[in-house]
Amino acid sequence: MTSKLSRRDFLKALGLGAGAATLAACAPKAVETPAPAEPTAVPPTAAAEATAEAPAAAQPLFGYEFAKNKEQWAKLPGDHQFGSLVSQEDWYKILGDAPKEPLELALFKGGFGEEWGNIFVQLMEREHPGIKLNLTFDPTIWDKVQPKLIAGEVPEFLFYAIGAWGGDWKKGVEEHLIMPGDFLLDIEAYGAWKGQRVGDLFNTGVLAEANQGLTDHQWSFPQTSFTYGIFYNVELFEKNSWPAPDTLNWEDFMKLQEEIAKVLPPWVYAGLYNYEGWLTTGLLYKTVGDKAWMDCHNLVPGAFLNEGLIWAAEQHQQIIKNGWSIPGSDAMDHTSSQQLFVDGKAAMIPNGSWLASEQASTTPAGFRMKFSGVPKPANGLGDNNAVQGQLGGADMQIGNSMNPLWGMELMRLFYSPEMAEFWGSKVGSPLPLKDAASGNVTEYSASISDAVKKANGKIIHMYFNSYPLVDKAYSENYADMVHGNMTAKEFFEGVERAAEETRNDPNIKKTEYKTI
Amino acid sequence: MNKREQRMLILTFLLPGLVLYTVFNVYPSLRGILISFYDWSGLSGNMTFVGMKNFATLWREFTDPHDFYNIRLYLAHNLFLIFFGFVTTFLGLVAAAIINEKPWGYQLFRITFFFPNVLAIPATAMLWSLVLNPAFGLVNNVLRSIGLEQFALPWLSLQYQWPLFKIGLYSVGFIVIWGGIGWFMLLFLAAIQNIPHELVEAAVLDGATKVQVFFKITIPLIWETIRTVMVYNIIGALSGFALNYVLFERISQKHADLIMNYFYWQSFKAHNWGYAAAIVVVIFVVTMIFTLVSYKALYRENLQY
Repeated sequence: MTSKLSRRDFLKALGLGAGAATLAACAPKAVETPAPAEPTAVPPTAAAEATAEAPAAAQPLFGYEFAKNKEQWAKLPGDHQFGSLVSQEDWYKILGDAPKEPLELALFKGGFGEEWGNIFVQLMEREHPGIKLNLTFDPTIWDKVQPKLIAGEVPEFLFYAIGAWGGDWKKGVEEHLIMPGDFLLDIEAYGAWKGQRVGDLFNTGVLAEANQGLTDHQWSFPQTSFTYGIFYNVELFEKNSWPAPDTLNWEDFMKLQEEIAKVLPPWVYAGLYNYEGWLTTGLLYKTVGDKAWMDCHNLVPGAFLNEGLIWAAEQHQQIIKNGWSIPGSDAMDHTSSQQLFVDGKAAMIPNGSWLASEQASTTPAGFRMKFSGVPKPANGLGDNNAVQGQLGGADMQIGNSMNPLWGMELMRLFYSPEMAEFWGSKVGSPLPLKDAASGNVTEYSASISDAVKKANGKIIHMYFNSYPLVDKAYSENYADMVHGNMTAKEFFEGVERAAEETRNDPNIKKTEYKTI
Repeated sequence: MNKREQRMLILTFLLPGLVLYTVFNVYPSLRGILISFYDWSGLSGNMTFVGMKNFATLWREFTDPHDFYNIRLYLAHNLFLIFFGFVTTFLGLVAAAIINEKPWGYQLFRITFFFPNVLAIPATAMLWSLVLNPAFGLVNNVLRSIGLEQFALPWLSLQYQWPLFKIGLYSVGFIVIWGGIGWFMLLFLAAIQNIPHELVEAAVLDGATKVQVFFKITIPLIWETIRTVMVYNIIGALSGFALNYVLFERISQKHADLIMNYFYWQSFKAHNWGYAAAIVVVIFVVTMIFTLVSYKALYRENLQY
């Protein structure tokens, strides 16, 4: 039995006292509604680029029965040849006049601040005079958006707005809250990048990465190239003639840490958030290589019991056991640990690329930091240039709203030279675009861009944590394992059990992952 | 005014409250129970009836020995906080007894003890997360500045082991005491001030010490208030959420989460709103049982005075 909840009912229930409200957030109405129809058109996507699939023949786009504004969506040309450029002029004809009602943008407010939103608005208003934009910035944007989603009022542009802390936006695909952006990839890019398809702007593999394994359509777009790994104090390293981590193999890197420990704690990390994991993930992959890593993602029986995974995890245990981190790191939040790092109290920090922007106002003048990928073990099977990226980071989608094409236009303008420069120079976290690092970018941003370029599409992800149970088994026990409260073998046995549970549950939709 | 008019008058005054309570408490609670029989992602209006499946899943998770089902651990945390609730009750009682004696500066103490109650729980959590920060926190800075570096511990750590639980959970317990003592003190103070003076005076004339008066006169005569506070503790501990949620950075934390944090994770992170509702329904039933049993167990014959 399937039933539908009206907005009125939902809000009625949600606007209540805490306990009761959570209980009552909804309930079915007696009205039976058919399940939304599945799309019939299958346009190629940039995700296919990663799997080297040949572009399909022209397909009509008129299969999206779930489109809220079918009339507007139907303006997309059904005979469009995917992979061929749609000029801006033609696109603007399709788009038509700016809608009277404001476009809704639901935006996560985090370490990147809000200023980029203002730049975005200015750009949009300049390009489309008369357009009205309604920005909602919030640190828990998903909480704000959820009642709207249930009511069917989906914003045009969603930035990290579906699913708390981990961005489980794929559920939004299942629930038809998101529109595919396949057509967007063929539209001519904006401004100085005119003449190129939007889809051609991206670094290799990032679109597939952003799509988190979905290959039917391009559902999600990367806002920024969240890159995870080691950030190190450049001046300190230069002063002590220590080599950059990514110039070493793992074994030598362990020796380097021993050297660093004679001077100051090598590490500080945000233990409350499990940020030490940014170190382990890279090492896990680089130890076991592509196949074993993908086996984990595809929940292949026994994949998590790989000896290499256990060895890599034990390496991290050793770092903690050796006391190579600032005491109390396991009880620190991210801003505390980041602050200690920029204050020069530790040589390195496992972190994400928001580091510079988040600590911008409290970083001492002249402090220099750079990004490094995690070193590969001497006998490792993974690609040494691979970097971990995007997972759990910012993702953007075109909402199944009343103005889905305008959602597409918002996305197009987001990937503009103006925005790229702002993100690279002001925010300090470059967009995942080929030309993002050109112009005025910091040493810090350049180190991230260089690493991503060098990776050449080898972006390490942990898609298996999109299965809630596997995620829970991994993330909740991870700190216990690293701190020696359980062995690495016990830890991975737990994850394996969760994978088995997930594998055997027919109600959990599985994704077949093909690239790391 | 005849009886009918009296009833109408009473009803008129009761009606607004009754309507609000029904609409905003009774009705949503009943709807919530209904949701527990559905599969619902919480992202759209589509819901599927699944009967008792959510409850069966909860039972399986509760009884399954696997590491990633931590329900029993969460419940153990809840029970641990009940212990801190009892400590708070005792300290609130002692504070009320002392303040009732009106020692020098008692008004200041009364306000100071009550102060945490004017803070919202998230604000309290933020405040203490700063105070207990291992690197920059007030507590550790003070300890370091007076040469007690060895006592500057990672107070919010969920890896640093103390007996039974991690140190972070003890910090939660301490904050529970800090936040609850003033409210309980106020309740006890009101009850103590209702005890007739002559009873205490008679006991004192008979040679009773202050401690004896406290245990033999005060406590028996305010037992009903103590009983209510104890039950209040149990309900509070079983429905705790916000303090842990904010203090431990809003992610699932095996060594700190309470059962309501798990409810939150299932609903907002895993998008299993039906299952989450089933958790809340069961917790409601468990809380009711705990409440009734403890209320019965703590029953003492009312002393008349």
